[in-house]
Amino acid sequence: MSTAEIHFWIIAAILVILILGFLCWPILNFKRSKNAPREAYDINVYKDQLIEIETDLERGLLSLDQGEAARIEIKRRMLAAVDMSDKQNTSTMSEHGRLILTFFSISVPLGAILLYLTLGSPTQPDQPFAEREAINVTLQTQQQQNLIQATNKMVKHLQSNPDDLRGWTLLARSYLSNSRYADAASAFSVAYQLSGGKPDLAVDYAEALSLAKNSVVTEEAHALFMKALENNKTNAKARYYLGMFEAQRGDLLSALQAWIDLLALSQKGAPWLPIVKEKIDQAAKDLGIDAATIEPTPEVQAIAIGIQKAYDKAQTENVATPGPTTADVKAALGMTKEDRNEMIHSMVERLAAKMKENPKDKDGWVRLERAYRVIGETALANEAAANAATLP
Amino acid sequence: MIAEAGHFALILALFIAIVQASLPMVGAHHGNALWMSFDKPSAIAQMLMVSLAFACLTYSHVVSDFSVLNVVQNSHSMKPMLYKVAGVWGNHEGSLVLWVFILAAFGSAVAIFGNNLPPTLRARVLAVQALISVGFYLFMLLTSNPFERVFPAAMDGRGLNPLLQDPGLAFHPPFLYLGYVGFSMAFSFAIAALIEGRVDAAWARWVRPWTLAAWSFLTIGIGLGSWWAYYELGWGGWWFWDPVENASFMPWLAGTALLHSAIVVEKRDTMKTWTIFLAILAFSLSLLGTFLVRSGVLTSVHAFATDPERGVFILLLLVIVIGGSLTLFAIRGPALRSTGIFKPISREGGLLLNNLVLTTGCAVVLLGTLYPLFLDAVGGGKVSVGAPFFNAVFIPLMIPMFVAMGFGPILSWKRSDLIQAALRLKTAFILTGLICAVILALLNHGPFLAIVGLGLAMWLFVATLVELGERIRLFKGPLKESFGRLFSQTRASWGMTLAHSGMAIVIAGMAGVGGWKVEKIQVMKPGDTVNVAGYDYKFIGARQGQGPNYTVIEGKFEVTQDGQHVIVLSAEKRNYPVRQMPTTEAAIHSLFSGDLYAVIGDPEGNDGKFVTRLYFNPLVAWMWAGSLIMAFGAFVSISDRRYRVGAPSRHKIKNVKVVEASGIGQT
Repeated sequence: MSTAEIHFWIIAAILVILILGFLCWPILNFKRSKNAPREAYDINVYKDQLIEIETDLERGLLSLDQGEAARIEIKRRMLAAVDMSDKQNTSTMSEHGRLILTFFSISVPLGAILLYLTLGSPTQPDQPFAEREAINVTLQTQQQQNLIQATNKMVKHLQSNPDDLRGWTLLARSYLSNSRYADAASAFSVAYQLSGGKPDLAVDYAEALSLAKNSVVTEEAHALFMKALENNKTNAKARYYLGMFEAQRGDLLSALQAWIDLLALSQKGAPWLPIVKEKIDQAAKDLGIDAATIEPTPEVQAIAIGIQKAYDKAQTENVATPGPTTADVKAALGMTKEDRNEMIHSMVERLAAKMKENPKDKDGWVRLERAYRVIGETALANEAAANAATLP
Repeated sequence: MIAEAGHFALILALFIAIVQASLPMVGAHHGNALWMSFDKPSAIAQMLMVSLAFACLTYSHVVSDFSVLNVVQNSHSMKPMLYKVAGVWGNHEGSLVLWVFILAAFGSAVAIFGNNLPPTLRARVLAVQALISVGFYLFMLLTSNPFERVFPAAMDGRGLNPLLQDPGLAFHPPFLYLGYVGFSMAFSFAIAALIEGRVDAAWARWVRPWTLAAWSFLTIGIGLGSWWAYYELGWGGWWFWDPVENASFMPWLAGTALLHSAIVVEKRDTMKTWTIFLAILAFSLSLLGTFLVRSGVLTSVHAFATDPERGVFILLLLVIVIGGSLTLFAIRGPALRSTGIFKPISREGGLLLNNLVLTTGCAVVLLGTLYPLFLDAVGGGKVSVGAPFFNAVFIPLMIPMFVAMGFGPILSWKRSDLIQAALRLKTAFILTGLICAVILALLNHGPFLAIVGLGLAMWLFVATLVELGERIRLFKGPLKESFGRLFSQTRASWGMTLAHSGMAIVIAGMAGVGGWKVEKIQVMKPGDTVNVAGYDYKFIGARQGQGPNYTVIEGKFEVTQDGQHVIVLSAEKRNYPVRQMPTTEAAIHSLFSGDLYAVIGDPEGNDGKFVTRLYFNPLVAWMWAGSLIMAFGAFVSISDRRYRVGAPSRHKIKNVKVVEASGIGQT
């Protein structure tokens, strides 16, 4: 049982005892009071009315005969009341039924608890806003403290093992995630040197350097990015920061080129695409040109085609029948209409190319015919159908 | 666990109410004093439990506990504290908690202060009161539970409606509810009397203070509501004959009638059946008002039908309470015998006229409010019955009553002479005539109805004062003696004088603003001056600014009269971007003769020009001053010593202890 639940049941118990006290009070403490008969209450009011008439007379609000008439009327009512009380002797009040009353009194808290158990949620504690905020802040500081401790431990470890490449890399990463960019940069620099200039580390090192300078890409970082890029032309991070470097230098056109190259090399759904597209739009707007008019550099185009080919190859090898892969279908569902049409067309072209290499495949021709019909190429469809018909 | 404790307390209150509704009732029927004696402890226990539930809900709102659904939906961590508290009753579930809290508070007040009531009557009254409570507890727990929890707790609340963050709106529901629920006391007394089969002078005396209390709270509630409409909606209107307003006005009319007829029952032992009927009517109309406002039937009959759970429950409650009480009334009512007889021209006759007019007026308002609903329900399309209908029917109905109101207090009981009464009021006639002539000469134009209204107000005010003068025999004896009489007047008669003169002031306010309101709508550029009813409004300029959670256009106007500086008015137009909701903060400066009222609208072009609406609302503040005086009069009347008549005891000497035990009611 949680503390909130225990507290609740303590409060509930106090309330139940309180209510039982209230309800059992008349049973335990009933005194055979000589209640005045009902009429006595009326007569009290009539007496008061008589006094009022006297004061009204005194103030001259009533004339003498008016006062007298009123007095007679009230006295007549008083007499009627006295008659009534003599007729029915109301003092014979009974007071039995204590057992039933006790039953009723106890059933009040019982019923309440039963109903509460169906409607209430006794296990749920209160969550005042301020308290929750405080807990959140405590949790965050605790996490930070944990991280700091881990980092300190790592630093100590590296003091005794200064050649631990993995250790330095980890330390640098943890500095990075803790927003201590300058420390991250120096840790990466050690790791980079230890690794003998590994390009992956070059990129991380350069990024840390830029972040430490409020995202300004320095010459040193630029050199490192270039070096990484020489090693791997498709390194997205390096290309992105190269664009930033150019933009910060004021060469927006080069920056735009770098980002468009990056876009051409990126696969669909790459996580950096939105940021890159935003950069391209902004740069194109600042330059006053249409970004669509700028083509990727020939070198990049060649690389992109290479990637595409490798991808297609993987596709055809993996899939027995060159129909749409599950990935294709999934992609098609999330696409715009134009995108989808384009994809279908490219798939049909793929099939047609395959049929040229292997014209003896009757099923393939039939599939191609169907595909042409779907995209509205009736002439080509008829041709495919004729090809299929020639085969046994 | 505070929220859960509140939930449990509410459920406990339900079960206590069930016991309170049954045991004392059975006990009273069988003459069992032990069973009857359950009324007082259970009424107090029920009140304690509801107060606890109310306090717990308030706590959840104050600390912004977003694990409570009601807080999530109606509060926000950034709300100012005042509106966090007011938000407790500013929503459906919370307002019901306030309802049952007031219901239980009235019940326990009868239990504590009702020692001068006959035990059987008190037992029955409290039982009926608890029966009403049971209905509302069930309604809450089964369809609108304020302690519903959410898991996991929401990040923040959703209730930041800027229109509702207003002191006028925060405090008018509690007063309205005190009024509505207060009439439940008169209702319970009426039902108890019907069950007992007797209504007498004593009964009327006991029922009156509760009715007075409910009536004065309702008066304040309605006044606050119309004041809010006046300054927040931004065009100087103060009453719209809107169904929600009518819902509160109908019980007020019935309650006013009830107050007056109860006097006849007490003084003259007649008009009993009628008074019982009015008590049932006043509370039934209160319930109807709650139903209209809470069920959503007003927005659309069809919206109500698509989400019927709550609406159907209230409707059922309405049918049971109204149908049941009227059935009981039909069976037992005719058995109530009246002994007093009176001539048409008499105090009773005057009060009867007042009752007839008020109930007819009430029927008119009821018809105008419900007709569109019925038409919509049977597929007759949407119509709205608005001010023209009510002004054409309701106002002419009230005119003869206000004339008679001047006469009423001067007439004597049983039989009276109209000519003699008129002679006693000759001073009033002359004064009214003179003042009216002066006013007409000064104004020399204006709508007929407004002139009539102003004349009526004058007549009522002067006649009420003349009646007071008559009572203290002013100028008919030594001045010192009259002065002495002034201070020996009963509080009940002071209450009457205050309430009637307050009414006169209200009528004057209505007539003034209705007849001579000046409205100027135009585009102004800084430096422009517009003359409104003799006041020059100079537009100083407007600036755009930023409030805590809104953008604001603040326009300043310097008002001068004949070159004399009066005041600088600063009107605002706020826009709350989160809610996409603009609000108007009219600048109002109240003078004795009327209100200077300025509203800033949208900018017109780019050169600092703005649409402005400038008003002079003559006498408008008199309405609220008058209603406060009326409510104050009712409180003065409640404090009259006659309502503190002690409990009788047959054996005064032998049972000194018993008398002491029940001594609270002794004076």
